Amino acid sequence: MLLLSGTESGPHLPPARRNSPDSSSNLRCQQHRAEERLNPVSAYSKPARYAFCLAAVGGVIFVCFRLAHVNATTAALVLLLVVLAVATRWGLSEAIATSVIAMLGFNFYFLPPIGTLTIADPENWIALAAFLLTAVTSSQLSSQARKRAEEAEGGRRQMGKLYELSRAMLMDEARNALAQSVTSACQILELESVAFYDVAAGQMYGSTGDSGITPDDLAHIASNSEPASLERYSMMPVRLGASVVGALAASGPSLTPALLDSLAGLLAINYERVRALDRAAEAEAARRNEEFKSSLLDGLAHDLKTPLTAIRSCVTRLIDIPPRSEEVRRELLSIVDQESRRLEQSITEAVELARIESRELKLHREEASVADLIGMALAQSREENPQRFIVSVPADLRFCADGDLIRRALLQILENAQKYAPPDSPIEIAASAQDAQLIITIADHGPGIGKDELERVFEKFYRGRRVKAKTEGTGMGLAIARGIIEAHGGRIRASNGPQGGAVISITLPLTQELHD
Amino acid sequence: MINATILVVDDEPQLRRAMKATLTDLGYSVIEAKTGEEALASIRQEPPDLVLLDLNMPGIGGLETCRAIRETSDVPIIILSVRNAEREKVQALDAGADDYVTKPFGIQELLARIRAAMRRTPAPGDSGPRRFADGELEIDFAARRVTLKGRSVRLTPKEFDLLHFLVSHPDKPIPHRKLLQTVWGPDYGDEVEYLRVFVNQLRKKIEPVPSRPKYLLTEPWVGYRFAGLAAAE
Repeated sequence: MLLLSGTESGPHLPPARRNSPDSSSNLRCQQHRAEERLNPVSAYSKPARYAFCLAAVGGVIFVCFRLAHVNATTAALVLLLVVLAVATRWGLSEAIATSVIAMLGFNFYFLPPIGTLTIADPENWIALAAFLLTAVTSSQLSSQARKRAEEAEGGRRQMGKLYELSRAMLMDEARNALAQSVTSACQILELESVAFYDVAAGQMYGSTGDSGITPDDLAHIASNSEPASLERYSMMPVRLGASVVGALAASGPSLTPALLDSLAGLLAINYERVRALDRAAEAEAARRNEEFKSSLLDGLAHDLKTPLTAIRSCVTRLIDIPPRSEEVRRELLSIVDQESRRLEQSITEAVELARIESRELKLHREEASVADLIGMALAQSREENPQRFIVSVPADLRFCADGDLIRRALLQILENAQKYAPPDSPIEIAASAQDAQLIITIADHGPGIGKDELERVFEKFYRGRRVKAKTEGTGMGLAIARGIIEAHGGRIRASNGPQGGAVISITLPLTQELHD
Repeated sequence: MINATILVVDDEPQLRRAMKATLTDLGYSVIEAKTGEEALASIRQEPPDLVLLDLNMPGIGGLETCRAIRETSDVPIIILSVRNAEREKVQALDAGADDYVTKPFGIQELLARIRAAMRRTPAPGDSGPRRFADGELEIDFAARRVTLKGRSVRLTPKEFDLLHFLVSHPDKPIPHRKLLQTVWGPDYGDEVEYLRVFVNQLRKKIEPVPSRPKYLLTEPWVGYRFAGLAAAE
């Protein structure tokens, strides 16, 4: 019997403490364990299984020998069924053990001379051979079937994971989609680490742990276009069509060459997708920039040429067809005067805005009183009815900033509120300190700002839709204010108040260390 | 002293004010409109003799306003705009404008354009034909009426004047400059795109097949010619 088991089942005999007949892949191993969790009968440990086999054989023999008093043939057939059951249920080693126990018990209790292990009759050898053959054959068949099922299940799971990964990659539209795809690959495929080297960008995403694999190594793999391995890491080039776009390094117990191949394929597709997205985004940005520039020029042309048109038509009228009435003459001259002032203001603001935008702005920071700055801005606002300003600013609130510029920013915001809100409607100015930040809000009772316009109001030459028809001005005011506030490391936001009306909020650092 | 009403349509108050100040004591009375919508309402209420129309306005905008005015009225329209690209001009003329003046402008130029837009070729005397008819197309110059296959066709004054001049000199190629100076005025001559737009519009209105004109023929490099055969009376 030992000879038999040694030759016939040797390759399948699992090493001690292994519960799977095939241990070449840990992935499969894990799946086997998962299966065991689902199947309580096979969850017994190895010794328990042998004990169960012994008990089953013992029980059958006891019943047959003591209770039923059946003949030897019946006992042999029942024992054969036990062997068959064990073989299909658990596997070869348990089945062989059961065959041996069954053969010994059968010999001892049923074959003459009963009560000894001597085999007198050659028929007994046939019985033993039948037990063993049944055990080996059925356990082989069942283990093969199980193995195939496991393989199919493993393949299905791997397909599922790859599908999940491809979905995760395709859904990701983030800017760092490449880095994200490497992280997802690592998580979803249960790998230890994954790294992808982008040849075009010369950048590596993901990590190679403490393996010492550098981006240069991966660049080398990519340029050689040959797979390689280092310690636990497998590395291979990532191809897109005929060209190599990068290299991949991965490690983990569940990594198989097929998985690495599939991962490389997925990464290549994702790489191309991200590149296409980037190109589309670049084209869009360029188009927007063009649009912005042309609207900027349109706006500037409009702002400069409108007063210029008024001036030229009046001046040419005065020169070419001198009006006879003094009244008309004065009206023409007063238009020229006003419009030249507007022109001057437009030019001043355009130059100022250009200075702010080209970051030429030098801040002369010094400590200043918030109440003083707001007071000066209010005084400059040329408001005929100062009663409409409702100011609530703590007198001792001080901060560090370029007072002159901040005052100009405040003035622009105030003038904006004056322009858009109905005359004499209150304008509320409040300031407070919070978490080392100075917060100033200027709220009016005008028509408010459309949700889609909240960002745009700070763009150059943008004018609120709700009031465009009747409003004068250059459309540069809030852009200037934003430039000044942002130069101070602050933020400016527009929102609508609870009772309607626009609210402009400014947040500025109270001290200068934070931003200088 | 001229006595004409001019509707100034511009969203910039200071421009309306300047137009009023420069034009009022020259014999024009000025009505103002802030938007295209206002302009249309004003035209319905009190038809002006001429419209000065800004292109860049909030609301329905200058081009749309121009088209809307043309649907109901033949009033001369002059576009005032800061844009001076050829494309913009052609678009405005296509929309039915008679002329296009780029801001900023001198008062003399504007006055010349206003006069040109309001002027009509004098009623035909002995020199020109009084009627043209060939079975399909009928033109009554005295009544300023055109019918194509029995259906009445509406022409703007400038279109009518252009057609009139061409029909008055049948089968003779008229140079661009000559056409511009006769129909628009002595200050014109280089605005070939005006002719292109107006001839196209005329073809759409009076040609049985506008893409293959049989009346208004282009004389390459020279100008245009009216193929009138001997039908003119």
